Amino acid sequence: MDALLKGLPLLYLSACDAAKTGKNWQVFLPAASLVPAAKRLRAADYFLEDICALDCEEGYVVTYHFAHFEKPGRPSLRVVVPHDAPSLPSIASVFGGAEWHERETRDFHGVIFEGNPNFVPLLIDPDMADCFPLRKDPKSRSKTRDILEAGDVVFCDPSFTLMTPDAPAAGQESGGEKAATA
Amino acid sequence: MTRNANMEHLAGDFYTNNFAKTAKEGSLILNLGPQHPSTHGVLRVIVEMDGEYVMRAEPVLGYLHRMHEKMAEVKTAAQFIPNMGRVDYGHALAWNWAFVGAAEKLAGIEVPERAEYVRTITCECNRIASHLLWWGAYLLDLGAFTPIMYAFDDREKLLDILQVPTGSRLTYSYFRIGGVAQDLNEDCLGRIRKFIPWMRSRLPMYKDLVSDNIILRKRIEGVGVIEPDLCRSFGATGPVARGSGINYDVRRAEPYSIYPKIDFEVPTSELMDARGRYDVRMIEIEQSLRIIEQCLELMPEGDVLVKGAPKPSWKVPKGETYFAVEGGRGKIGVYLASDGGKNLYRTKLRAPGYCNLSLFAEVSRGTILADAVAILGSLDLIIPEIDR
Amino acid sequence: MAAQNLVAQKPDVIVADPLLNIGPAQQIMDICRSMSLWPMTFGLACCAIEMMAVGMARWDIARFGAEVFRPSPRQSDLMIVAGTVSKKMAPAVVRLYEQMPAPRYVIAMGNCAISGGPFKFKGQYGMVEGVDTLIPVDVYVPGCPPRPEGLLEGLFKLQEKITGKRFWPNPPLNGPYEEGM
Repeated sequence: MDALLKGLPLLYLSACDAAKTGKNWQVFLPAASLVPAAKRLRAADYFLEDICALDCEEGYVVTYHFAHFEKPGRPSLRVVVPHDAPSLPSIASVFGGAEWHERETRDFHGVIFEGNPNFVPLLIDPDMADCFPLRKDPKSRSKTRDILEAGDVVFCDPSFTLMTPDAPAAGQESGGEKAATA
Repeated sequence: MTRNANMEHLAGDFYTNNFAKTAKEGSLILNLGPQHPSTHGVLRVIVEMDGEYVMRAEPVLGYLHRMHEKMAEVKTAAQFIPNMGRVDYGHALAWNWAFVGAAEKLAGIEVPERAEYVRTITCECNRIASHLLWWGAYLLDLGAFTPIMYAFDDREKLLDILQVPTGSRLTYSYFRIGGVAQDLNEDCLGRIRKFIPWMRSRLPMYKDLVSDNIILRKRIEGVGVIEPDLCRSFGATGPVARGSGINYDVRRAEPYSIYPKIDFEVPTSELMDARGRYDVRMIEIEQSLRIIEQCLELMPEGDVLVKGAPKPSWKVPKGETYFAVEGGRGKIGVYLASDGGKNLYRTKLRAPGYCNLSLFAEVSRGTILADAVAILGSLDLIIPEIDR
Repeated sequence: MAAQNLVAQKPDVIVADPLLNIGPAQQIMDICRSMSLWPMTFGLACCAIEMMAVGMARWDIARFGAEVFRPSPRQSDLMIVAGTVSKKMAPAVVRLYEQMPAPRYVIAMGNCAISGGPFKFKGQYGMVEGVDTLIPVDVYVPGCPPRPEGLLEGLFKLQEKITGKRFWPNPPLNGPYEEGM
């Protein structure tokens, strides 16, 4: 996986325990690297399983699960977007199936995917398209590191502190990853 | 002519207007559904037609959105199992399995061996029932009224078998986190043993009368060609991918339970059209019978539920997991994320029909409307799993 | 297609009294109607499969006159709402009901159609809690899904409602139950 994504700016790359988590790699990316990374996975014949958003304290962690018809393994790309401006580039031009997954993520969490060819509500009634049912009450959100496992870290950008224990400087924690998703 | 001057209902709704924005001059915009005689459920497809040819199609979903993912955040993990029976009522046990398998994977619970065999036997019986339901309904869509009678007759026998341990005919909530709810007793095992040769004797009749029937062949051969790269782009799995030559079956690719010990073939077809998908499913019925036979021989004695199995108040330990099983329609995935609280933090259900249907817009371009219906049927859609 | 004004509008044409209101003639008409109800194929979800099973060889609703499932509401007089009605689908349900010619009957099959069923929970956002909030229902058949025999009983209750009399024997309380396959 690190060979496949070589050269792209990443925030965090770790090998996960496949027996427990079902995925073998997890990669946190800045939003700008998302489409190039998707293109590389498509060129390597991976297919998109689903797109899933997780509403955590630090933002929406949008996870892209990929799999391969011949090779084992499930690499997952993750992008964290802030709650007040949840916007990501769409990968529908790379993976045709992403169009529906992105529309569903917008229905449930309100994440906007720029460049999606048909960005209308998919599952929710258009009359109540802004109810965003799976968004959580801010009081009941958990931190990302309380849910996701760190895994064996291969690379971690110094500004990315979502998965590491509480960094001493509070400014570094909130400033670093939000700047990366601009 | 109209009694009321209010013509607002003739103006088209949100989706039709959205679709019409890019419609060509002089084309006909037609709504198939959401209520229509084919038995897929509430699927609506808006098609733009030039005469009898489909220029563009857009499936509109959400008419059966039953909020499963929201319910998973409100109920505890053990209380969510009945939902899994209703997500896809065709192959409900596979969804049961995907969910309890994910919870067991996350929590590290090991299932007793007999339970694994019971799960496999009942799941494969359910797969045969699902494929028979598809077969009968598909032929009904194509205009043949008799095969569905035979399919439902076979299905009733299977439902009688599965009713004994599960208590349900259709929407099973039989699996538990740590095993299954109840063992298969001798009566049930005897019925299964009688069913297998009986089903085997029916399959040649179906082949002679239906599969080799010239009318069916003319309707589905050459219709709906799906290239393997399209499957990759849209994430299509199951008989849709196998009918295009991709040898991908979750039971072999991400083996779970006792499938590595069982000898069975994964059928593929090089035809890539509706005929290929049809053949794959018919062969899968025979392979499921093989799997059940081997499981009946290999099944050991023992418990079917692990000691200290989670009770309804059980909290899922912290972590995330993704577990996939092979359902009748393709790869069923359940993603669970938990922070150790009372309820699951996030449950994502990856339905195979969702990805299979998303390629319909591409595949149906330029076909005639009757072929578009044949393609829809060959994708084997069950709408509640697509809408979740 | 606003979700607000969903309740079926009162039809402009009310079923008029017959010109010759002769009791026995009306009774015969009622018996004929109840023995040849034409259901509309309105299977929404899981209950649809049990409705299909009722039409098949084992439970054979044709014995009771109702096997002619019509896809078009204009040609049917019984709407079996089998499955969950979501808010997105609700305008379609109402429109289909309004398109059926009178006298028309509705059976709410399954817990979802009766009250929302297993999908009713605090914070639910997308479902209509019972189809009787939209259209008038004549018979409720509970179950999730109800067994085909349950739907047949519902049909008999509807026939009883139309004619005032039940024509079929009540099922025995203590069997016989089916032996073997």
